[in-house]
Amino acid sequence: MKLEKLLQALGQPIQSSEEETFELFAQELPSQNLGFVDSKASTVELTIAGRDLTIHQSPGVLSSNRAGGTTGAVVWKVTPLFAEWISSPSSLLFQSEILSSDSLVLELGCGISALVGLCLAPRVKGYVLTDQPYVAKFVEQNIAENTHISASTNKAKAKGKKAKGSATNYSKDNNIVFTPLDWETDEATPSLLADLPDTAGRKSFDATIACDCIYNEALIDPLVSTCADVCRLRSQESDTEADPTICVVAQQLRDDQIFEGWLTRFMESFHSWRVPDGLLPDGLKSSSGFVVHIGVLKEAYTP
Amino acid sequence: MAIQSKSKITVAGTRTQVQALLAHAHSPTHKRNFLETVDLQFNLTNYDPARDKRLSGSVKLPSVPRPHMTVCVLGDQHDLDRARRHGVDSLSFDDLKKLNKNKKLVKKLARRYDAFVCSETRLREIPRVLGPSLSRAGKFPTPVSHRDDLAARIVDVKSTVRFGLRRELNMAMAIGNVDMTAEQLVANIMITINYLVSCLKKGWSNVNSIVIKSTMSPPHPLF
Repeated sequence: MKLEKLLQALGQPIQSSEEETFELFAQELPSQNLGFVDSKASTVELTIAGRDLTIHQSPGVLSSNRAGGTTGAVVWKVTPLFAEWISSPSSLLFQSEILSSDSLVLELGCGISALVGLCLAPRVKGYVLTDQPYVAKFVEQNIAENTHISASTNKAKAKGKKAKGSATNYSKDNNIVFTPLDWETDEATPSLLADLPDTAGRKSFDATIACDCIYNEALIDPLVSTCADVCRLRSQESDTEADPTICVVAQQLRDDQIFEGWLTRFMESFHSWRVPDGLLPDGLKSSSGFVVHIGVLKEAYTP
Repeated sequence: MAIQSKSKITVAGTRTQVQALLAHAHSPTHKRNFLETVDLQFNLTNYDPARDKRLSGSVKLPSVPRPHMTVCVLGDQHDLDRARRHGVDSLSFDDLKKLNKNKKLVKKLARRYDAFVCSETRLREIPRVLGPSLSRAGKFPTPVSHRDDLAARIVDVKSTVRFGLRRELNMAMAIGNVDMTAEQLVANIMITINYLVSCLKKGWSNVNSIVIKSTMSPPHPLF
């Protein structure tokens, strides 16, 4: 099983959320600001794995008092680092073949940047970005601009009628789409796959990703439940030999109580591992103030 | 409701308040028998600690705010020897094991010292030996390796102000003491304020008020 290969590289699963929190926070953590790359600029230029990307963000939305939260309106520091690592063919997930050109990946809380998707989509079969609907406009702009796809082919067909939802206005070749998914109100179902081209018959994802989504108590339970629900879709597949869906969570280390709260809740549903520093680039190591964890649903796997 | 265009802090304005604070602390009627600490207190606004990313960080200050800050070294034999040579309190792991993970005793230990420094190679053992009480108190030890200069590390710990927003909109930190000069206090204050505001999502719009006070003084407004 490919999963075995991955787990061997990860070592022992985490036994105690208290000990894990202590180990991570009893370090010389570099002091960072809240973690945004640039909260004032309306575009951010990044180069990841040699590819130049221009990301549009919204400092206006960030400083607004929008009821549902504004965190997704800008690019956060951990995201480019994580995007580069996870899409690298020499990284853990590709080496163990959990991720491959045939994989389907879902991201929770992608924010406006779609960075992880832009980097990972070319290497997998399909990538679904999800977040609250307010980021949709930016996500589509960022995808369109960085993959040089024009949306005009489908617009012409719409004959002046405004197309609703907008996630479906991509040409068939584009394997990266956005679908709204609110952790507190929406359910995870196979319809999440619906907008991806060429995935008939598939009902689940190979991996689900959450990048810097853990930062307050109110969202811990909805996020973990949503992660679990997405991973559970795998049980609907007819192929019972398939590896379980893995959950990859990256975050900046900020508040130890929130981190411990999240980890405790995460470990209720998932067997959890921390990705060892040795398998991460310098910028993502815990000494830089970041951490990456991988989980497998308890009901799907017994180590 | 905070007005968006509130003027930011000036060095001159801060100096005036600092001088007033020092004059008060040293005046014959108010002088105390202990070294008063100077605190910087922030009240934030337009910020939802329940739903936004929580601010947490640290600033290294040029002047040590609290020279009497108590530090304890939790160490292996090598670091215990070094600590003794520098006159710093220390505890061996055998000493810690004797506490038997008793929550009350560990809490007492956590309260007795302002900060802890621990031998890097044995850091992992701490939660297993002491249980969760040290983490609960927010007193995560700073690691020190055998190659590091222990005395310098302790000075670092004493010079660093750690802050973290929990559920309330208030933050207070010790940034000096009344035996410092006005210039030293002003420097520590300006560095802390500027750093903190740069960390906030909306910058100065997130700040409702800033105040300095010494332990026994009334508050002096800075913003």
